[in-house]
Amino acid sequence: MRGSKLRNVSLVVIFALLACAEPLIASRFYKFVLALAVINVIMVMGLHIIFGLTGQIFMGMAGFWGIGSYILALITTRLGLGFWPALLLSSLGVGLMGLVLGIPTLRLKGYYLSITTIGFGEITRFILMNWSPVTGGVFGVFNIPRPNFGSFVFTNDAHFYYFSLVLAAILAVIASILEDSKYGTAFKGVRDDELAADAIGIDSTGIKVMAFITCGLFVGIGAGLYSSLLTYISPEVFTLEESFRFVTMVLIGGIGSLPGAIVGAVLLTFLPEMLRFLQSWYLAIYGLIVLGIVIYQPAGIMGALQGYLDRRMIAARREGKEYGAS
Amino acid sequence: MLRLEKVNAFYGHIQALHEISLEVAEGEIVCLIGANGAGKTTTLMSIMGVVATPQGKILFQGEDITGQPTPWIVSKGISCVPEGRRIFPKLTVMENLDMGFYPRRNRPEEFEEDLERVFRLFPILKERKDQFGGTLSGGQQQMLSLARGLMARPKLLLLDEPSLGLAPLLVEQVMESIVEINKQGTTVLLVEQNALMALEISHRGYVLETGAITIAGEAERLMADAQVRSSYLGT
Repeated sequence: MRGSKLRNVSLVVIFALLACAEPLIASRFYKFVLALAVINVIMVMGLHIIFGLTGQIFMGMAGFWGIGSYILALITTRLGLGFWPALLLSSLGVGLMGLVLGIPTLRLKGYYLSITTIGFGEITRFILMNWSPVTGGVFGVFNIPRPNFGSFVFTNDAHFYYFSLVLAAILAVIASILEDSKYGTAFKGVRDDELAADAIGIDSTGIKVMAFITCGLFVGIGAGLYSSLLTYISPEVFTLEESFRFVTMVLIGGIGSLPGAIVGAVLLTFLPEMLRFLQSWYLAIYGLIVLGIVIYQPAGIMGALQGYLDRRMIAARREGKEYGAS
Repeated sequence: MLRLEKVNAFYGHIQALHEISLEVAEGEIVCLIGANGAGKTTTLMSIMGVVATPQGKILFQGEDITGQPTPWIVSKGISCVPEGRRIFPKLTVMENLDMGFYPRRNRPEEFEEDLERVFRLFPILKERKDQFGGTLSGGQQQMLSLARGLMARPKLLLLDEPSLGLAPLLVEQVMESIVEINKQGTTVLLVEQNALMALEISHRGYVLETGAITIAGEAERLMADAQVRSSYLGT
């Protein structure tokens, strides 16, 4: 199996597993973590497009996440709009931020771009914290509503979980279609060799700005769901550490692979929670695990899977029998 | 078809091109030969609008294209096969060709036809179409780079050192395919250090020395020229 076929099969397996996981988890806390994991899955798909496909090291995920969460929170609580228009606006709002942030990429490349995006994330956090009249400052925003269909409200956590999972699955299909389109190839071309892309007439700046906007649209949806799941948000969540965590999700899953990013998101949502019993040792152990994966399996989880399938296929060919689809 | 009139180009304060004037007529293969650092690549990059903003005038089919954005220039019918091939290593051969077609993506009905054409020219690419570009041999990568350039269906193809780093037998093969491309109606501006090879397949040639054109003329005349022979042909 190669490329898009492996991706599609993996996506189906992953979403089926996620759908089965909810009733199997007994603890209420871990059910909540699972819902958080699905929200992170939605957001990491955005990062997959800008970082995994287009190769731009984006270190400002917490900024996008924070803006999206606050857009939904403020629109629903202060302006009294419903969940759905608010979710749409948080997606569009972060998409617009993608455009604003994408414009510096007209000039910046590589590390300079990542430093700028770190700055963007930090500035966002400080604005959320200090612009009290609008954002509520350090106290945050309370009483954010849950999603609803007419009069049916997703107050039940299990309902909320499946609602998010369906949204995530729809977005995964959209991301896959985008990846297989001409634009997806152009994203990857800009990643592989920007100068070559320019020389054959691809507007690499335009492509990068487009990737930033798409990233924003995805993150905005995940961020809106996040506010709604918690019903309370405050600015201290959206730290640089979180931005790093999103980048690590993509790396651990296997850079450039959509199912990889998704597996990475689920893993890195659960791992810190499961290591909590280590107390003050937890960050060190967490760091070691991440380091171990990056050193010993630099192609990530999906890269390892691809390698295993390739080896099996070669071995099967040697034995002179057809094995699976190549 | 293409005319450069007194083109100057700069990298910072350093002037890389001094008053370059040259002309390529429709249907020709014209070569630009010269040593390392003479400004051959800079000339091509100025035409493509990739580096610096050149001074002077660059006309393509009578239209001023000086310093225009590259995608626009490509859409006018100039395509470039960059030095060192620069194929996309982590894209498959097919995806690389897709990328070449990108500037014409609003005409998907022509894709198959163009694909047929490049596969007829380079049958090996058809066999390798699902392989990653980076796993091809040097010669195959050069063919892929040429094919990718052709997917834009250019009227004028700019080739930057297509023989670079290839075994002599492969150089010959690549040169033959350039002649074939030209016969099918694409005008070619060829930049080469391998002067003998370039002159053999060209109609006319220009010699570039430290950013200025020193000799110009018919390819046969250049090959007979004593100065060219001693400097570039090693005889």
